[in-house]
Amino acid sequence: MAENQKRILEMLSEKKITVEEAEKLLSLIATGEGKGGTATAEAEKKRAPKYLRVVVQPGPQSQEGHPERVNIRVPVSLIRAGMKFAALIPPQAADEIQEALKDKGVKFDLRNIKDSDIEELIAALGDLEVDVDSGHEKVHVYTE
Amino acid sequence: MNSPPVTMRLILPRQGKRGINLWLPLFIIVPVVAVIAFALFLLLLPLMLIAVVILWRFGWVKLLILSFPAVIGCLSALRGLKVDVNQGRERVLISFS
Repeated sequence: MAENQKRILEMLSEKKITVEEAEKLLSLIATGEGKGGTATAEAEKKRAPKYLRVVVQPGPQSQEGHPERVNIRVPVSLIRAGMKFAALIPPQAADEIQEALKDKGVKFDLRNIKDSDIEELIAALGDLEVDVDSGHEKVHVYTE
Repeated sequence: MNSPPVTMRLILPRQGKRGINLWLPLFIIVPVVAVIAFALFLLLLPLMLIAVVILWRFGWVKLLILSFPAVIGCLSALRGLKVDVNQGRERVLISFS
């Protein structure tokens, strides 16, 4: 039993509150928990993106003729599966990649990526939203 | 594991001609390809075993064996992938559903 409900019942048994007041308080707690539960479920749903979307559309200043439209939808499960290939990079190739990244000033080791890191990265994708409007075209990167 | 894609839609442009528009029922094609691949695997098994013996010390065989489930995982996760590029009358579409 929840702590609040227990306290209400104790207050009722000690006759600090009436039955009507206790009933009202209990129903308020139940409503609050229901709303909280729904909010948690919604947050959970928001946190777990299914697709990464990249949409490119012509902007208001785009040239007349044949403007390019791009619509890409990548399942997050495919990103997850693809990330697992990082563990399969041969040691020689991994060293070369590491050198190339170092030359570009990126201090990031692909070999250090673990499954838990991938899950964290994917969970963080849920908040991703990139909007670029250059006038000629609009680029929108988001998850859904 | 994800359920693998059932169909594939492919639209490709061709210069001066009408574009290619294909709807591929993967649920029919994949089992046929799998049977052919398995038959080829059995046929080439002696050669593959020789290659395994030669390449074992380089570590490539282990990598190949480990990459197999990753490739299957990637193919299974293709469901929902859609790439649609449109420019005027030309359109490229690759979609798995």
